[in-house]
Parts: sequence; structure tokens; C-alpha cells
Amino acid sequence: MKQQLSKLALALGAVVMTGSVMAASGTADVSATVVTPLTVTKVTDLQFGKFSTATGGGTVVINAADGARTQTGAVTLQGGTTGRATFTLSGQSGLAYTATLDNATITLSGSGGTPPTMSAALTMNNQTGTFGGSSITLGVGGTLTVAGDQAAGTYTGSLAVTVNYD
Amino acid sequence: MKLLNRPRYLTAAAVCSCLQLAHSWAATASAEATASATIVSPATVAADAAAQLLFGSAPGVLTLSIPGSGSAGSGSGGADATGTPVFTYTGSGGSGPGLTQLAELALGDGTLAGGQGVSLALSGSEGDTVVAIVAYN
Repeated sequence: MKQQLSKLALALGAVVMTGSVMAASGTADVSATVVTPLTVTKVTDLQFGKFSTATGGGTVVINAADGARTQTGAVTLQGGTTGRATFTLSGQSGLAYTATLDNATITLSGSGGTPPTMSAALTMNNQTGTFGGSSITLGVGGTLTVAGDQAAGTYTGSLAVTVNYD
Repeated sequence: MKLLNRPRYLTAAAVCSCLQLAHSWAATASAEATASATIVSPATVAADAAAQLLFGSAPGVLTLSIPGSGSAGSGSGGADATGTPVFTYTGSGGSGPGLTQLAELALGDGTLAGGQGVSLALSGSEGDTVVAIVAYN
């Protein structure tokens, strides 16, 4: 009988302890911030224009900030449409961003001839900044290296930029 | 007690997952552009006979004649009081060796006053072919 009473007391005690755990509670705050989606839209392409080359070769440079074209070496600039690539960025006002080039150097391929390609080292302006009330123009220029015996013709390539919130 | 707590952990983990997905979608964007360049044939220098440079009757006035089967263009030029060359030329197109565009003008030593020697270098392009003409008088 005494043992049975002890078991009953233990059982009651267990029930009481379990009851106190089930009644415990706590609170936590939940919050979320929705920011304006970051968008990047291409406006213009990077165009080095027309030029000729001679022994020794040289470079054609497109300024990332204003699109101005210059040359070095034995390259002679001719007409044609020239300009920097531009992208329109928009995002949450007050947030900072960083833009990166998927490839800092790209290859422009021709339709034939030797050498068949040229390489361009790309540059950017407005690579970093903070969004305000209006969109931001991101410019991409580059330095195109031209061989002295580069074959005449049209060369094309592509470039890509990625923008992230900091 | 483990059974009682487990659902709370699962719920918290699910919420965190959703927040991360939403943040990821809004924080990155990318776009692509093309790059292009056109190389034209190297410049060539034509014989002197390709162009004829004449002095006009008035000091500082140049007349340029470019032979060829292409349609004739028109040009006018001269120099200002300091001797700085001023010359414009507008081609009218056509086929053959006639120039369709003159891009730049460089004047050698000398002035445009009648009777003095002067050299005139012109360059331009016809289609994708660069053309240079050097004329002497």
C-alpha cells in the first residue's frame, strides 16, 4: 500500500511538471522590409566605330564617362557611329549599389581574315553609388587593341553587367 | 518535451527561407550589350595627278578639282587673315574614283597668298576605303 501511494505521488508530480512546461510561452518580433526591385536596362551598345590600322597597330579608346573616342599608335580614326554602352539603373532610394562586369576583357570576333579577333579591356563609370529619387546611368567604355595587320571587316562581341545592392 | 519544441523550430526555419528568397530576387539585376568595331582598308596615297589645286584670282581662294567618273562635288575654301586654312567640300556621290567625302584638311608651310608655294593634303573616305590625296602647287 505504501509503495502504491508513492507511485501515485510520483505520477501526480510528473503531471504537475508537464503542465507547467506546456503553459510556458514566449514572444518574438517578426519584421520584413520590401525594397524596390533593382533593375538594369540597356540603352546603347558599345561602338568603337570605323578606323584603319597600320604597322605596329594601336588602340581605340571609348571613354566610359562621356563616350569620347581617342586612339593611340598607328590607328587612324574614321567615321562611323561611336559611343559607350549605357545602362539605366533603378532601385530603392537610399540604398547603395555596386555594378560589376561579367568579364573585364571581351573578345570581338570578325567575319574572316587573320587575326580573326580583337580584345577590349572594359571600363565603367558610376560603378558604385547610392540610389536617389531618379535613375542612374551606368556607362561602359573600353580600350580596343588593334593589331597592325588586323584584317578589314566588322567585329562584334558582347558584354554584360550585374548590379547588386550593397 | 522534444516533441513539443520541434514544430517551433520547423516554423522558424521556413520563415527564414522565404525571407532569403525574397531578398535575393530584389537585390541583383543584370543586362547585356553588344560591342562592335569596323576596320577599314589602310589609307593609300594617290598620285599628284589625282587632284589639281589651283589658286583663284583672289588671294586666299583655292579651287580644287578632283577628276574621276563620279559626279563632281563642290567645294570652297581659302584662309582667314591669319592664314588658317578654311576649306569645305561636299561630294555629290556617284561611282568610280570620285570622292564622296573629305574628312580633314591640313595645310603645309606657307600662306595662301598668290605666288607662294603651298602644299595641301586632303584625306577622306569613299565607302569603306580611305582615300588620301596630296596636291602640290
